[in-house]
Amino acid sequence: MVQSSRMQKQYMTKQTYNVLAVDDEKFSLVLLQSCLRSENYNVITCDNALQAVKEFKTHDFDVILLDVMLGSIDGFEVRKLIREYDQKIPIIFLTSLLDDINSSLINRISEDQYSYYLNKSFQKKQLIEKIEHAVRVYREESDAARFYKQLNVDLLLAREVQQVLLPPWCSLNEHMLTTYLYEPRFRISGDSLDLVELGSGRYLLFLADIAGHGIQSALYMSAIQSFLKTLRLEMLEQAWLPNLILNRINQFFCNDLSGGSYMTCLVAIFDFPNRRLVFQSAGHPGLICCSQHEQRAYEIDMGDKGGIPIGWFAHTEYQEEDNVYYDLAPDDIILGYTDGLIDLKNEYEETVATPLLLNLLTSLMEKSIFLPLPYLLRSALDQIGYDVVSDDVCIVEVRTAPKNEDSLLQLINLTKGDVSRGVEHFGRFVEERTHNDELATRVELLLSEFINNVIEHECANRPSLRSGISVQVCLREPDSVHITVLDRELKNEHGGLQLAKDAAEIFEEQNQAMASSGRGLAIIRTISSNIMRKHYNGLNQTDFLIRSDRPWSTQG
Amino acid sequence: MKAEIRQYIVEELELDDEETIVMLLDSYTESLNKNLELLRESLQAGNITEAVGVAHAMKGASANIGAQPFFEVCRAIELVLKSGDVATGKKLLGDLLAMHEAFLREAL
Repeated sequence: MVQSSRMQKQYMTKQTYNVLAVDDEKFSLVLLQSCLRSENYNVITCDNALQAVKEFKTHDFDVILLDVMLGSIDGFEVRKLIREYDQKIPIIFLTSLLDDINSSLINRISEDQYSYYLNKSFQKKQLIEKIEHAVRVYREESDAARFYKQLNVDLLLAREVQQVLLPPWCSLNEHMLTTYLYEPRFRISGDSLDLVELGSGRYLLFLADIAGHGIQSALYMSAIQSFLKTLRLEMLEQAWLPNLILNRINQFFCNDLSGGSYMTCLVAIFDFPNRRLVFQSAGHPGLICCSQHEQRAYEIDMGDKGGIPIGWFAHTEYQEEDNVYYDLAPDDIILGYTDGLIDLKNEYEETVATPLLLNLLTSLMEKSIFLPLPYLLRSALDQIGYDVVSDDVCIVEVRTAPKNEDSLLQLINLTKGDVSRGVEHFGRFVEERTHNDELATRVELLLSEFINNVIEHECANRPSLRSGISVQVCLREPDSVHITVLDRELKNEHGGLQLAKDAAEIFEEQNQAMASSGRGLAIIRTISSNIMRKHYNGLNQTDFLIRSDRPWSTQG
Repeated sequence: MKAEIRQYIVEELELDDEETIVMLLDSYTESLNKNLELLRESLQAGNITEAVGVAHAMKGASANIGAQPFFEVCRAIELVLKSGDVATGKKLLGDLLAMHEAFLREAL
C-alpha cells in the first residue's frame, strides 16, 4: 500500500521522458520537438526507419512516436524491428484515421498490445496525455515484472530453505523405513513434516497443515520445523506422549507466533521394539494402515478421540485419553497425509473420496513391496484424472525396516565415498549368498556405472546431502538378481506415471544430455538382460535383471 | 490562412512565443515548397506511387499545423490518385498550386 501510493506520487510529480520521434517529414519532427520542448522531455528525432532502429538500439527510450508512412518502409515494419528488441516499449502511431474506412489501419495498430494511436492534428494536451499514459503503463508493468521476478527468486530460495528443514525424502535405519512425497501447490508449502528419533527404537512422526497458502503459511512451517528441532532434546530426555507434545506446540504457536493462523496437526510415536503406535490428531486427518497380510487398507479407528486444531485457543489442553493406541504388525505400512491429497480434483471438480483412496491403496499394495506408497498413490490418482492440485500435498509412509535374507535395501548418498562403500556392500551381500564372485562383481559394476554415470549426472550441478537414492538388491533363486534403484529427479517433479517403452533409448538420451562418457551405458547393457525405467511424480524407478550362468541354492 | 494557422499554434499547440510561431510557419512553408515541387514532378513523370506518398506527407504536415484548406486538398489528391484517377489528381494539383501562391503572398 505504501509502495503503491509512493509510486503514484512519483508519477504525479516531475518525470523525465526519453522520446524517439520518427517521421520522414522534417517539419513534423520540428513541430513535435517544439511541443515537447520542456525540461522533462528528451527528444531524439529520426527522418528514416533505419536510423530510427539504430537509435533505438543505442539509447534507452520510454516511448516512440512513429509515423505510419515512412517512404519506402512503413511504420509497422519499424515496429516489427523494434519488437525484436523490446516487446513492450510503447509506440504511439501518429496518423489520420479519417480515410481508414474499413478500420484496417486501426486494426493493425491494435494488433500490438503496447501500440497507441494519436491523430496528426493533435492538441498539445492530447500529445502529452497520450505519452504520459503510455509511459506510466510501461513503467508500472516493468516495475511489476521486476517485482515478480524478484518474488520468484525469493520463493525459490524459500522453497530450498523448506527442503533443508524437511527430513530426507527417504530414511532407513534398523527399525523403520520412511518415505514421503512433499508437493507444494506453488513453489512453497504450508505443510509441515518431521521425523525425530526418540531413542530405543522410538520415533516421532509430526505432520501438520497450516491454514492458508503462500508465504505466510510457509513461514509458519519454517518456524514450526525449527521449534520441533529445539524440542528434540527435551523429548529425548522425557518419554512424552503425543498429547504433551501437542500442548507444547500449541503454546509455542499461540504465544510466539501471533499471526492469527492455525494448523491441523498429527503427532504419532512409533515404538518398533514393542510394535506399538500411539498418536493424537489435532483436527488433522487420521492414519491409514495398509496391511500386507490382510491385503487391505483401512483407517485406524480413532473413535471420537482427538482435539481441536493448534492455534485456536492458547489455553487448550490436549488430553492423554485422546491418544489413540494401535498394535503394529510387522508388514503394516502406516500412511499419513495432509488435506491436499483428498482435495486433489478431477475434471468434474470431484475430490478424492475416502473409499476411493482405500481401494486404490489396497490395489497398490503388491507394488508397494519395492515402491513407496506416497509416490504410487499420487501417480495412480494422477492417472485416473485427479490431477488438479488445489492445496499443498504431503503423503508420508512409515513401515518396519524390511528384513529378508534374500534382499538388501540401502540408501546411498551421492558422494563418491558413499557410492563406493554402498556398492561394495551389495557386492559382499551377493557373494555371501550365492558364492559367485563373478555375479557379485557384475552387480557391483552395474551399480557403480549406473550411479556414477547416470544418476550422479542429474545431481552434478547441485550436489546435496539430501539427494540420496534407494537401492534394493533381491536374489531370486536359482539364477537371477533383481535390482531396483529409486532416485528423485527434481525436473520430473510434476511428471506422471510413464510406461517405459524403450529403456535403452532413455539411457541413450540421458547419457547424451548429461555429457556422460557413454561407457556406463555400454557396460550396463552388457551386464543386465532387462532394464525398465518408470517415473512416479518426481520419483524414478529403474529395474535391472541380471542372470547368472551358475545357478545357486541357499538350501544346500 | 496564416492567421488561422497562427491561432492553431497558439491555442491547440499551446506555443505562444513569436519566435517559435515564425519558426514553425517557416518550416511548414519550406516543407510545402519542397513537396509541391516533388508532387508536380512525380505526376509529370507518371510516378503515381510517389505522388500518393508526397500528398500523404503534405496532408500530415498540414494536419499537424492546422492548415485545414491544404489538408483537405492534399487528402483529395491522395484519394483520387489511389483510385487511379490521375486526371482529377492533376486538376487538384492546379488548385493546390494556386492556394500555395496565395499562401506565400499572405503576410505573417
